[in-house]
Formats: sequence, C-alpha cells, structure tokens
Amino acid sequence: MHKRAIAQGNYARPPALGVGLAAVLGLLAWSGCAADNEFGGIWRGTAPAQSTANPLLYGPAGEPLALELVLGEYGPDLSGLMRFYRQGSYVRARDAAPPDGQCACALVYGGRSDSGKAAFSMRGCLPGSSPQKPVRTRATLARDELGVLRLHLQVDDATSALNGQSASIELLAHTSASEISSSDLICAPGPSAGNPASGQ
Amino acid sequence: MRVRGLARRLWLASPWPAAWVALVALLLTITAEAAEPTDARRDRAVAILPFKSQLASPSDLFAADKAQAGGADAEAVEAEVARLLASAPMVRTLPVAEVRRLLGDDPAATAQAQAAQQLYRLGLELYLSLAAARSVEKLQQSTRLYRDALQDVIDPKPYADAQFMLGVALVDSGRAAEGHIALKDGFALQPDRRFRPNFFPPAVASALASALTDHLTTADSLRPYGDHQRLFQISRRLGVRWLVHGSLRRGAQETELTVAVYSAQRRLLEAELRVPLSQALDKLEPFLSRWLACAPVEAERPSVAAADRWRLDTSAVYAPFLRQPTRRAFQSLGFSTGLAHEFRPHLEWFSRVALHTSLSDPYRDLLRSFNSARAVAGVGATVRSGPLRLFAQLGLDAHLLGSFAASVDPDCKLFGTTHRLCDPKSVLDLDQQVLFGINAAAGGQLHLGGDFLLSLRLSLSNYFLPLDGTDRLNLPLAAEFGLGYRL
Repeated sequence: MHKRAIAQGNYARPPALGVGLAAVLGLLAWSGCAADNEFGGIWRGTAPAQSTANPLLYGPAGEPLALELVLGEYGPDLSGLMRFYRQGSYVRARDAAPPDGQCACALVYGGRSDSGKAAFSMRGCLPGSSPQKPVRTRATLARDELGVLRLHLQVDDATSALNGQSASIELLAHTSASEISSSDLICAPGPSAGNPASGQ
Repeated sequence: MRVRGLARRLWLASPWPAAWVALVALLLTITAEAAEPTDARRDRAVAILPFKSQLASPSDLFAADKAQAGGADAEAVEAEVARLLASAPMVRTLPVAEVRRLLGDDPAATAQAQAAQQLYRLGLELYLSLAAARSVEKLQQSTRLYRDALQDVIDPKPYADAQFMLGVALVDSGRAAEGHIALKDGFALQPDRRFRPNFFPPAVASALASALTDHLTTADSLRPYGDHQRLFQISRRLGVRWLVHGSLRRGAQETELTVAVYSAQRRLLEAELRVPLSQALDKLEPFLSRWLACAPVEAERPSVAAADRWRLDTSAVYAPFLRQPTRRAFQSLGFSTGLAHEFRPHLEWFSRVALHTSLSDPYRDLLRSFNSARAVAGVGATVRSGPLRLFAQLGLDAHLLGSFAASVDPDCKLFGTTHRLCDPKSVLDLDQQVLFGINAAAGGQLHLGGDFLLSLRLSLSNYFLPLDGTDRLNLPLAAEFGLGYRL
C-alpha cells in the first residue's frame, strides 16, 4: 500500500515547500535589517542672530556662522567631519562645493552613540577662535524635548584661550546616511593658524 | 615549514578532527561493502522455530517420572523441515539450533534474560517470605523481560518457571482468575511441564490441572509463539522474511501435526498444513514445495532504490560563516545546484555549485555586500528507508570570494580603506581570494512521487588555504533546501 502510494505519488504533499519559502523570505527580511541609524547623515544648522556673540559660532564682527556635520553611524561607532561657513557663503555653498575656506573643517574622533545620545571629539580650527589654531573640542548630540537634534560644543583644550567655552546649535537633517557621497567627505588638512571661515 | 603549517591547520584548526576520521572510516567501510559482488537476486531467508509438543495429559501433570510424550517426534519433524528447505533452491535456512544461537548471542537479550532471572529469584524469595503481592509484581516484571528477550524461543524453561511461579503467587493471593491465565500462559510456553506430586497445596494443584486442560483445549496450534506482531518481532530479530513453526497435538484418532509458514513482509500466515503425524513425511515435501513455488524471490534492489541513477537538485541556501571578522553576524543567501550519482549501492559521488550574496552586518563591519561562488565535490554514503534517502558526504570546497573587505574602524567605513584616517591593520581584505578546504555534509531527500524529490542538506566547511585570512573568515555553515529530480 505504502510503496504503491509512493510510486503513484498520491500521498499528501508536505507543506515543507511553503514553509521553506517563508523561512527564506523571513531570513532575507531579517538579514536586511541594520541597526537604527539615528545620527548618520548630513546635518546643517545656523547660529541665531543675537546681541552677545558666542566666539564659537560667531565671527569676529559678531555675525552668526553656519555649520555642517557629516556623520557615519555604524552600530555604536561614529565617524565624520564638521565644516563651518559664513552664513552668506553657506547659503551659496549648498550649490557650490567645496565649501569656502581651508580651515573650515574638523574631523570627528572617538565617536560613540548610545541610547539616543552621541558624543565625539574634534581637533581643528573653530570659527572665532583667536588666535586661530587647532583646538580640541568635545561635542554631544541629543534630541531635546521637542525632538529637535541639538549639538553642544565645548572646548576642552587647556592651551587655548577658548578653553571651557561652549555653544549649542539646532541641527536639521539635510541628507540621509545612504546618500553621503565622496565629495561630502573632503576635508583637507588645514593650516596650523588662521580661520578663513571667520573671515581671518 | 609551509607544508607543516598546512598540515597542522588541516588537523588542528578543525574543531572536529574525530568527526572527520569517523566519516572517512564510514565511507571506507561502505566502499568495501559495496565493492563485494552481489547476486542479482537474494536468497529467501527462512527460520525454523522450535516445534511444540502439546501431547501432555492432565493426568500426567504430577507424574514427574513419567516419560514426556512427543518431544522426539517434534524434533524429528523440525529436522525434516530443515532438510527439505536446505535442499530447495534459493533458500537460506536457519535451523532451530541456529535460531537459538542467534537470539541467544544478542547482548541485549542476554542482559534482559539475566535481569529477568534476578527478578524471578527475588519474586520467589518474596513468595516464600509470604509477601505474595510484592512477589507478583516482581514476577510480572520478570515474565515481561523474558518475553521481550524472546526467551520462549531460546530456552523456554526459565521463562516458564517465572510464569508458573507468577500463577501460583496469584492463586495464593486469592486472584484465581488472573492466576488461571498466568498458569495457562505457562503451559503455552512449556506444554509438557510436569510437577512433583504433593508439592503444591490442593488449591494450586487444582488450578494447575485446570489451566493445562484449558490450554490443551483452546490453544491455537497455528500460533504457538503468539500473535503476528510477535512473529514479526522474531523475524526482524533474526533478519528473515519467513518463519516456519509447528506443533503436535492429540487428534481425534492419532497425533496431529500442524505446520505454518509466517511471512514477515505480508504479516500473515502464508501456508498451513494439518496432517496426522504418521503422514508427515509424505505430506511435508509437497507442502513446502507448493509454498516455495509461490514465495517471491526478492530482487537485490527494488527499482525505486536502483543505483546508477543521477540526481539533480536546485536549492535555496542560507550560508552564514561561523567564524567572521565582524562583530555582528553577516548573512549569506543564495542558490545552489547539485548533481549526484550513486555509482555503487550506498555510495555516490556528488558535485555542487552555489552562488551566494552576503549582506552587510548591522554594524557594517563588512564594508560592502559581496557575491561569492562556491564549488564542492566529493563522495558520500547513502542509506534508504522507504521514501526517505539519507546521505553523509565528504568533499573538497573551493570558495571564490567577491569584493570581501571588513573592518571595525568607523573611519574606514565612512572615508574608505585608502583614507589616511583608516588604520590599514584593521582591514581584512580578501578581495577575489579563493578559499580551499574540506566540506562535510549530511542530509536527506524525500521522494515526492514520480521522479521528484524534496532535498535538505546541511554542511560545514573548514578552509585551510590561503594560510592568512582563513583564521578570521572560516567555517561556512550551509543549509540548503530545494527540489530535486531523478534523471
């Protein structure tokens, strides 16, 4: 009976084919899921006009500056760079790459993200820092109660006159992480002094 | 130095050297077996079970000195059946002595019989110390073990001892009905059993006589060893397709011989003969000849299991590396196709090719998704059970990686591996490398009907070339599931 059934192929087909297909599709979906990418991408912000200019985000004449943060997020690790612009050229730089200046860029070091917060260090020229020379700056990223991403900068360099100075700026998403191009990552080493971004 | 390093990797880098040795030994054993010439047809295996004499008389039950009737006649019939079967073509006969030896040499049966004997002694001691209820429990355990060990075929005496003792204990405990059945079962095991007169109390003696009378009246002479299920169990233990058994019993005028042939394949009595014992010599030969004329001679291989067939399958593959340079596992999916040819019974060669796509891990330590191509070839051992065909395979694996590069440095991921921020030491670059190693696999194919198969294969490879690189990327596990076709 059994052999005849086998020979005729008239026994119940196992549902294994459907199960296998579902498993493969599930596996594909699962394997395509990466960790949340909360900070990766290009962020831009402009310092608000105010009467008491902060030396970190304002030029010598007190004019507000703009910044662009390019971040790659890989699990708990962050990498990237930050550029500064005069606001006028910043607007133009949206269409004109590379951005103005030679020392308007600082690389991100030791970036880590965890539980909705990110922290990293930078060493490079800062706008308004006078005399212009590379300083070490700590930065944190977190969302405020309204869900807006805020960047907090604090100079942590005892050799700098700016040591202890801090500033905070609101960032807006400009480009997603997957759309970061090689031209966005150009960050040539700057001079040891001078900060064209702040007009000097 | 390099060769020594390679040999060391081959042996020590493998997490399961013993498994390799076992698989190679299995393949060699099967190869040797398969190389033996086999006839196209297989002899019909027939075992002869001890014939039982049911010629005892209730009046002789307590006449221990009186000669037992029928024993010599039963043995003579057994010998004649064995002679006739041995002279028949394409029959492999297991005579009674060989049957007893084969069953008695089984270590499991021996252990069961020893345990049963100990339980019997314990039950006897409990009975003598007037703990009848506990005695019954031990004796029941003893008889169960004796039955499982097929002790009634090997030597029924100790089994019958336990069975009779159980009946006596039950009768003594006031459980007369159960005792009657137990005593009757005892006579089924040893119909010509005698007891010493005046040894048992009158109630037990009466129960014994009653049980023997009942057995002689109602016993089925066609089933002296129990039902067909038990005969099937005996035939499987002996590895034969037929059992011949028989019994002698008192007829209306003279002793009557019953002979029956049980088919394990059909699970029924295929032939039976009832004749007066005086005509046995004349009737046995035509009876066995008629049966043998209809008993099929089995082909060496059923057509569905025929060797020398090609099998082609196409499968979906899930193939993660068990050893990865990334912090989180990256997944590899793809398709494979394989061809296998069973060139000897239980032995096949196979080859497979597969294309995999490896997707980046959640931390993107794998710098980019990559494709890879893989080829495996080797030999395998196969076994078949109904529609299921199982195999174990051992082969060589060549794996051509695509643009494989991995790093845990986030600067390498964002800026690229050539950027000044990227530490080159953190990058494992196996771009376009070919990994070589050994592949071991196990799996099965389920016959779906027609020539179609459902195929499942699990495999693991261990790469040992190139020497640098495989210490961080190795041990690809592959689960393949798909459909196949017998060509």
